[in-house]
Formats: sequence, structure tokens, C-alpha cells
Amino acid sequence: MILTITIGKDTLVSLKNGDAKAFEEVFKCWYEPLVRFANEYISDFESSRNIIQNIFLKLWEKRELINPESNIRAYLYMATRNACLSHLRHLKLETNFLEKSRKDNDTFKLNYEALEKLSFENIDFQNLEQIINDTINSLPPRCREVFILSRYQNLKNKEIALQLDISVKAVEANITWALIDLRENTKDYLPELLFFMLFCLGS
Amino acid sequence: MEQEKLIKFITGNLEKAEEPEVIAWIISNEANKSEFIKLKNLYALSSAKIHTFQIDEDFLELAQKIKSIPKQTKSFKFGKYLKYAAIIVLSLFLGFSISELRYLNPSFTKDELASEFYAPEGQISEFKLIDGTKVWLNSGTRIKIPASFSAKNRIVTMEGEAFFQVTKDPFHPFYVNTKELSVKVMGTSFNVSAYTSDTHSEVTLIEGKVGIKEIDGERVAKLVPGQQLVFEKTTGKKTKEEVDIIPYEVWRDGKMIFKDRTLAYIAEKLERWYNVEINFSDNTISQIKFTGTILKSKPLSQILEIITLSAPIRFDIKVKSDKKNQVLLYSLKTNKK
Repeated sequence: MILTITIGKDTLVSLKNGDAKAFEEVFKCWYEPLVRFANEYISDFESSRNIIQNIFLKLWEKRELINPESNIRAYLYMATRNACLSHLRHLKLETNFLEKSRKDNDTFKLNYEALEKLSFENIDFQNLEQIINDTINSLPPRCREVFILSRYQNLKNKEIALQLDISVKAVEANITWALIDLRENTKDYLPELLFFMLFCLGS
Repeated sequence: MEQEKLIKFITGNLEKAEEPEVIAWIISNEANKSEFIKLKNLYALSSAKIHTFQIDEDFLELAQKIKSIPKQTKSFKFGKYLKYAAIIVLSLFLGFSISELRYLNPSFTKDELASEFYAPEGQISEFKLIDGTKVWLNSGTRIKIPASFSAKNRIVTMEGEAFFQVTKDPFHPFYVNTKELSVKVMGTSFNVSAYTSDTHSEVTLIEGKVGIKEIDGERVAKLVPGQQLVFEKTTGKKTKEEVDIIPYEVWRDGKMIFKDRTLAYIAEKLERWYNVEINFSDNTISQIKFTGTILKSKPLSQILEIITLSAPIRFDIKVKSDKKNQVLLYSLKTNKK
């Protein structure tokens, strides 16, 4: 079961006042999802951890500026997005030709474009997360199991197939099913731009 | 059909060989690209907390980072140095032979050489000393720990490249001796590289403070983070400069980072890691400069192939059963013999 996580206003008020416990609570709530999120674009787990730790470091340093009424999650995702974009730009500048083949560069370019298009200003996070979680929870059991193993345990399709004793094809089909379901259910909550794209696709 | 491939690409399950096809499909028109962007972002966003990795450890790591920030940061530059109380990286390129050891330090006689650690070519090893200090040895590195080594008497002698994470003890400095230099550390992390074949010594300080003197007693320098001391072995010339410290840290993770380095320099490192002999057909190609990162987990042939893709160079590998394999790098224009 995927649970929706929330941080109350009280916690943010405590954090603003320098309460380390509140900071820990916020960290433990969002650190992991943010690292996973970042890693999807930069494909480097260590760098992802570093980036997110630095974002929390800044959050602690700037805690006095926190508005407890604001959507801190949107702030964290926005900061992560910007840090990842900057990381990817840096990668490009470094011309890592020895490490990254041309194919990888294309992938990074596409990841960059996708991330750039992601704006958090329009996203109603609480709702979006709720819908994503509800969708995952309402998937057929096998499908949910496959998606969770893929998304949260970072298992490759082959490993999932082995673990669940099903064919790789079945794993692929289940992941496709889950993502398409998610796309359908979240279309009202993603930024207008993406909504527009969906519209284009439909025509 | 395409959709399944696209999703495999997004979830990291597509075979490398199939990637160009999917990438070509994505960029072929705007609708395809939109489909990719939407699914990619959705997959990335659908992340939840299920404690599959060490959140507690990472929080402690972050707490350490926060603690090490001084409360008053009026003087910005000062704060920067104080931030990390004592993490140091030294990188010394110099060497000594084992028979010379006793000259380095009078108390360092052969009988006292209690233990010696050696990381052969192509390997990195890691161990802990009795005072809690952690040591990483790079390929072809030898370190000697005298029997008298204790938490109160911390002196080691080495040849090659090593990274030290020294347990802090301001009353009992940690000394790393090499043929030319002696490095004094109160506590923390530093990297020493001292290969016999190199013409110079480098001491690179990442964080903290370090004092360096010549082995015969003359003080050479104190460094602040980001500075490097270069000691030319033949002329004795010393220069202090600001450097990028990252390459001196990342070798422990099996990475080699080069910024604007000549192929000759890179070849030296590759020789040590892959235990091969690299030769150039002419000097001009050895002076071609490269920037990039090499993952040591990749086979040598793959690295050489990438080099040949980026410069008019070709290579030959001669497999020798009795000694090191030989690699010849030659210019595309000239014949190799």
C-alpha cells in the first residue's frame, strides 16, 4: 500500500522556529521521493543524494523565510528540478565523452527537455500525489506489485520477472498498464502544458 | 508496440542497442516527444516513501554537514575554511625505494616494519589503522606501518597514491612521509600520491589544514583548501596553485577525471590501472589534450576506442603471455611502422 505523506502546518511553524525534530520530520518525509525523482533525470544515484541533501541544507539555512502557509513540497520539487537542470547543463559542459557515449547524451538531452517542461507552479501537489497513490493502490494486485517493484525498488524488468516467476513480456505489459492508467487519472492535475500535449495526442 | 518500447526506455529497461530507434521515434515529431515528456515526468513524479534506502544514515550525513557550518558567517572566506574542520587531500607524486626507507626517519629501521600493505595494479584497497584512521590505496601503492605505530605515535611511509581519513587528535599529529616530503596533519582526510616513476610531487588540500616540509627539515608550505603544492623532484622547485580538487577524491570510487590533460598523462594512469604498457608512435599525439571521466570498471579497449573516436588516433594491443600487454597508440596519418 502506498501512503500519501503530508506535513502539517504546525511542523512548518516549528521548522521556521529552528526545531531540529521538525526538520528531521520534513527530511524523512520527502528525501527519498526527491532522490528518486532526481535520479530519473540524472541517472546518477550518488549525485542525486548529494543534490537533495544540499537542497535540505539550504532549507535549514533559510528556515526563517519559510511561509508555513505555502506549499513546501512544491518548493522542494522546484528546487530539485532546478538543481537537476543545472547538473545536466554542467554534464554537457564537461563534455564527458569518455564516459558517456553519444546515445547517453541523447538520453540526457531528452531528460533535460522533459524536466524543463515540468513546471510546479500549476501542479496541485497534494491532489496529484493522492491520485497517483490511489491509482497505484487500485491497480490489479499483480500489476501493482510489478509497478511498485519497478518504481520503488528499482528492479529491472528481468529481475521482476524472476522474482515473481512471470515472463518479461508480462512485466512489460503490467508496467505499461500502470503508466497508462496513471496518465489517464492525472491528466487534470498536470501542468497545462502537459494537458495541452495530451489534447494534441488525442487528435 | 512503440508505446511498450517507449515505456521500457523510460523505466530503464530497454536494451542499449534499441535506444537509438526509440530516441529517433521520440524526436521524429512533436506529438511523440510530448508523449515521451508526459510519461517520463509522470513516472518520475510517481515516487513515494517506502524506505528502501538508508534515510537515517543520509540524515546523519546531512546533520554533519549542517553542524560543520559556523553559526556566525560574517567573514565569508573564513567561514568557508572553518566549515570543514579537518578534511584534507594531499596528492604527492614522488617516490622512494624500499632500501631507502631507513634514511627517511631514523627510528624507522627494518625490524620495526611491522606491516606493509600493497595494492597491486588494477586494484584499490581499503583498511583501517589502529587509531581509527581509514586508508584507501590506489593501484600499485605500498604503505609501511611501523610496529611502533599507535594512537600516540602516528607516522607512516608510503609510495604510490593513497587517501587518508585521519582520526582527529590535535595532540598527536599524523605524519605521512615520502622520499622528499613529510606531511603533517592534525586530523582528517587527505590524499597522497607518490609513484616512483613520477617526476614531481603534488600535495592537494581539499578541506582543513596541512603543513608540509621537506624531509630534511626545511618547511615548504602550509596549504588552504583548494590549493596544491607541486614539488619538482629534479630542480626542487616548489609552486603553489589553486586546483580543481575533485579528481583527487574520486579515484576511490573507481573514477578518473581529467581536465585538459595530455594523452601522455592519461596513459600513465591507464598503465597503472590496467597493468599494461602504453607507447606512442610519435610525440605529437602524446601531447593531445583530453577532458573527461573514465570509469575504471570499463574495459581498456572501450576507453581506447572512445579516445580514437575523438582524435585521429588508432591503437593496437599486443597480448604478451610473459609480461604486460602492450598498447601502441599511433597517428591515423602515419603508418605504424
